[in-house]
Amino acid sequence: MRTLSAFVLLSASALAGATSAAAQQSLAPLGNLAATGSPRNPKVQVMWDRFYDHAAIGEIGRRLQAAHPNTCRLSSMGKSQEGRDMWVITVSDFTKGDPDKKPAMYVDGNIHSNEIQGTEFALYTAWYLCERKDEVPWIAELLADRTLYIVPTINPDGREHYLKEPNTASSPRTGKVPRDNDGDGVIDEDGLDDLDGDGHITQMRRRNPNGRFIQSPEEPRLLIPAPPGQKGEWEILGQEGIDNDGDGQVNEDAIGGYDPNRNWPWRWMPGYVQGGSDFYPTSLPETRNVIAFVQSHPNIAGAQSYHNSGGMILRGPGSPQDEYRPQDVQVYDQLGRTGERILPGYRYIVVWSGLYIVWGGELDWFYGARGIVTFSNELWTSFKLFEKPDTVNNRYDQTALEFDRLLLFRDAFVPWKAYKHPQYGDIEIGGTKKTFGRAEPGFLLQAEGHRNMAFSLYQTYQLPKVEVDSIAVTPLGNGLSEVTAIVYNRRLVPTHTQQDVENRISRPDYISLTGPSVVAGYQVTGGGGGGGFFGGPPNEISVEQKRNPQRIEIPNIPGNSSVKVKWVVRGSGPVTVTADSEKGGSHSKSVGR
Amino acid sequence: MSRSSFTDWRLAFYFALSFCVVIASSTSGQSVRETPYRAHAALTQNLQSLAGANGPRAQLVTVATSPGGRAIQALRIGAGADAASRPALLVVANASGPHIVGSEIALVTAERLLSGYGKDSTITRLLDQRTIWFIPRLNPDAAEALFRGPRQERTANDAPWDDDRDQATNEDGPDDLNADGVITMLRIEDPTGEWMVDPTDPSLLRRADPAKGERGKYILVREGKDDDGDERLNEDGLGGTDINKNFTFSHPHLGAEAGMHPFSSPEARGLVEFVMAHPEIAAVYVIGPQDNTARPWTFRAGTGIAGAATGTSAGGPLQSIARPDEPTYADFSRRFLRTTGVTRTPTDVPNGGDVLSWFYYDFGRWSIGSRGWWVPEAPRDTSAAGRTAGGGGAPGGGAAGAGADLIADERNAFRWARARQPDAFVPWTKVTIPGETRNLEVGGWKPGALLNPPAGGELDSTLARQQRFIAELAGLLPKVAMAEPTVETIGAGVYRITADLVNQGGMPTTSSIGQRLGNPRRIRLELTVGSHTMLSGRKVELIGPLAAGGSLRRTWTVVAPAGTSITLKAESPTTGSVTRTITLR
Repeated sequence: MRTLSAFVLLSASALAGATSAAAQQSLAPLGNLAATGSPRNPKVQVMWDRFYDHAAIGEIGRRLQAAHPNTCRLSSMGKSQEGRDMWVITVSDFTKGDPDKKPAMYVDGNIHSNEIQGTEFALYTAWYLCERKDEVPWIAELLADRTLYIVPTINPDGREHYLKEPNTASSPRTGKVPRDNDGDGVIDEDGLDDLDGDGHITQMRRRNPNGRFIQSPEEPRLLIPAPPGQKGEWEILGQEGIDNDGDGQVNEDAIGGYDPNRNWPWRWMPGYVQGGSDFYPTSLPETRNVIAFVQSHPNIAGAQSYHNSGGMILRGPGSPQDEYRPQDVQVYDQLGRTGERILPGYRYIVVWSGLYIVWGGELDWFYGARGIVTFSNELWTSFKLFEKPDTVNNRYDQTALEFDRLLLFRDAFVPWKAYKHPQYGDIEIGGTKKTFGRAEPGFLLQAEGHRNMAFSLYQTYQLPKVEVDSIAVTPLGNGLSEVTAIVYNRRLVPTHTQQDVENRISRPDYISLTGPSVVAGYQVTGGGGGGGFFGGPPNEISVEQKRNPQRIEIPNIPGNSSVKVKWVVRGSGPVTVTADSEKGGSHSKSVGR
Repeated sequence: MSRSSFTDWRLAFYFALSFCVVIASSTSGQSVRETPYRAHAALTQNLQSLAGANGPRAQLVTVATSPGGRAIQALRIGAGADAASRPALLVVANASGPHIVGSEIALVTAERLLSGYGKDSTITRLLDQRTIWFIPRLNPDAAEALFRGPRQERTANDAPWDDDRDQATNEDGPDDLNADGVITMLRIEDPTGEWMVDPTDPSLLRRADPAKGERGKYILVREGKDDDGDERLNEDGLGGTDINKNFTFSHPHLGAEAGMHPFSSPEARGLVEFVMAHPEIAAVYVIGPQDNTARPWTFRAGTGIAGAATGTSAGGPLQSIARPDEPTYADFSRRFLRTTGVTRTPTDVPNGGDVLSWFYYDFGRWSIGSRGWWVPEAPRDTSAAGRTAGGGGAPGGGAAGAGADLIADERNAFRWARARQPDAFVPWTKVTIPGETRNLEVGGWKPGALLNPPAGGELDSTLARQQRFIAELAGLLPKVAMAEPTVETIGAGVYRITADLVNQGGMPTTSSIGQRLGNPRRIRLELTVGSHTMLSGRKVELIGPLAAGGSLRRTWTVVAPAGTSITLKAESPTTGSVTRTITLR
């Protein structure tokens, strides 16, 4: 719990006043003025230049809940393989409606154990919304009719291993369900070894007159291939480790042994098509927990799953076998292009064509099986090193070490030092630390967290929002009247993606009339212009819904569009029209007569 | 879904699966034992008493519990201390709900093998050396629909499912309009109908062919009415997931009865967790609609997505078995034909997400599937009308040319049933539904039927054939053996060790797909030399596949004092294990 001592705590609302007064006392004399866009005096103090372990994630959630009981709720979606809670932080204005009925954005991070900063970005989002809700009208309005389900890590076991054990920036990727990676009948028997006991897994190199590498003239810590005509001096022996099981191979069977982002039940493929997919889709408890959560929250209309690295705003499909529906691609494109503005250095691309082919990935399950507009941001990009796309001699590692030298003062690198290896003999061990290369350095962490949050909040804002715009009543004689209503979706995202419509994933939107008794009900299409007109403009076509006419079923209300319905009713008195959408929220309007 | 497409879908389904024969003559769905088949309670009881009576040679475990609360059980049979760990055959039946003959085959085979132990020398030898697991009923919820009134063919389990997405669940299933205890078909006289009475066999209906000037007279649907007043018939009955569509290979994502996603059903997930916990299962025999016995799976050359090779990341899923596995499937087929005396089998019923394909393509096991039983060829009709209609037809003939008899299979079944099961076909009789003015008639095949033989000779010979083949398959399981290794002295204290590894089984140690998957794992060959020096050879090597009867030679050079003992071990769950202690001298 080293990390916890880093921030000022508040655990109970009863103490809130006193502690926040204490915070005022201690800080006010120092003359604090909140910078634009930052909480003025946050009730929960969290330092955003570091990474939090499982206990700290739960603690931050608990403190947010205690300090903001009407905005934040901590719950568990289930247990991981090793029994850790998979925390969900629900953020919404609980005084304004049931959060599980509002259009919702789902955000998770850290599906790959080593891709850690998504967790902090998710936590930052929860913290920021809680601390800003009473200060920023835009956020208060957002939380009045939207919900965010924030899952800081969907791989708590792998995260804990990554943070607490010696590791590299790339290990482990897997979770901790035991698997026999090398098929020799023994499980997890030969992982990485922190030979020099410094808490880091770095590289091993050995002097070799026949080696292929030399020290870089610009950056002597780095080995580069010997130029043509020049003799090498070093050979690279790989990541720090020994042949633990004596089978002649080094580090061939570390913990786990699968890819949690290939385990999802949409276009899942066996190992010879998709490595790491494990025995069957949903074989991992963490996958099953997320699926159960999403299936039981049909109000989720948008999602973000944070990965690293490379600076990408990814959308599916992951495999060339799928093609996203054109109507949906338009929506993705509009969101993604705004994302590129919010996130300089990030490119909005498609997984299979822009990155690589992924079968059975999480974002494809979200879209394919549930019809949810989903992005995966690949956090951190070398663009951030010197805020230029170029690198020294086209070499990322050289540029990164220059950055380490000039801006981090060599904190990212463990200097090479001699070591006597039981199998390789005299070698040297050294190299970059696990927190460098794929995650932001501390001074950029909050900035990148904020930008990524801003993209998700933009998406949250653009989730569908249905509104009964106008109601008109026209007498038809004989005690009958015609009631016409126009219902708008005022945001970019439709109430149903085309994937959802075609596969009938979510229920239709309902537009209901209450008050007078309904004789007949119709959906009105055509007429041009999508609403605003009354009295039947040319080209309008009314299609009767014979069954249950007081509740008209609408398959979809597209983004920034309206639908028109009408009823023939008998009797007088006020008329109330209610629009009710699983992903678009609900809204009512009444007119008197 | 429009009414007509719904009707088509349901009919396609009906005719694909249910060229059925009646199980028994009955008027009530609640009668106990009118059929030779067993409802869940009876099957469970039989399995329990079988396990109880056969002590250590039989063990019963629960694999999963269905949404209807029914336990899916697996029975292990085999004698000897290593019965639980040596290579095993798994027999899986009744993943497809109405296919209950599979349950009977599995149970009776287990029963007969156990009772023959100690009496019949062949059976005794088999059970002393081999282990067989039986899962007689993987889809007990759906199977139960054939035993409880009104009896009907159902493929999906009891998971609540809103088929028509109207926020109501199971609100409009089939109805027993003529109160005869079974759900058959309803024909509605309607000018928009596409079906007409077959001129040759007036009990049967076929699609009218407008090109021949024919006009349809009937709409044909499953027996039922519009229970919820939504102008659709039987669109949301009891039933969630068809277990035989809930596996990954070619899974019909979001398709009818396919489940929320592959392995969303407790039955499918229970099965995969069971086989993961039993890596010794080397081969699987699946009794169900998919059949690769008389028509073995073959390799087909072809390319996948964008011209890339199938079975790769870029090319996507495999579209046929791997070429190296073709001879093994051909061999299974030859054996099946020889052992059972069968000369042909019906056309395979394509079915995305089925358990048979999954076991091979996605789980790497030798996977052999049989229908178990199908309607035999009826005596040829020599009448003039019969000749016109193509005589007895060609049941399961598959490739139908232009002008072929489109209901040849059903025509054959009808003639077969007339001779052997006269009550299998319910004659069309008028029924009424309040508010419905059109002429309505209920009739057609009783549920269960063309999939499951009636009691008597057909069933008895089916059980005997299938028992023979299951026993044969168990005898073919891979088995690793090693002759005494040879030791040669190269120089003082330097020894060359040579060992031959043999697969004594009748099938390769793994399939080529299994090798690519790393599942089942290959044979681990390990020479343990302690602190001595190995000059050549590998300490640990993963080996295979070894063909049936195939062998492999390995050589090591070791430096050690004379008289040193070292051990050489070859093992894998699906091949068993063999250890040799070698003294260097």
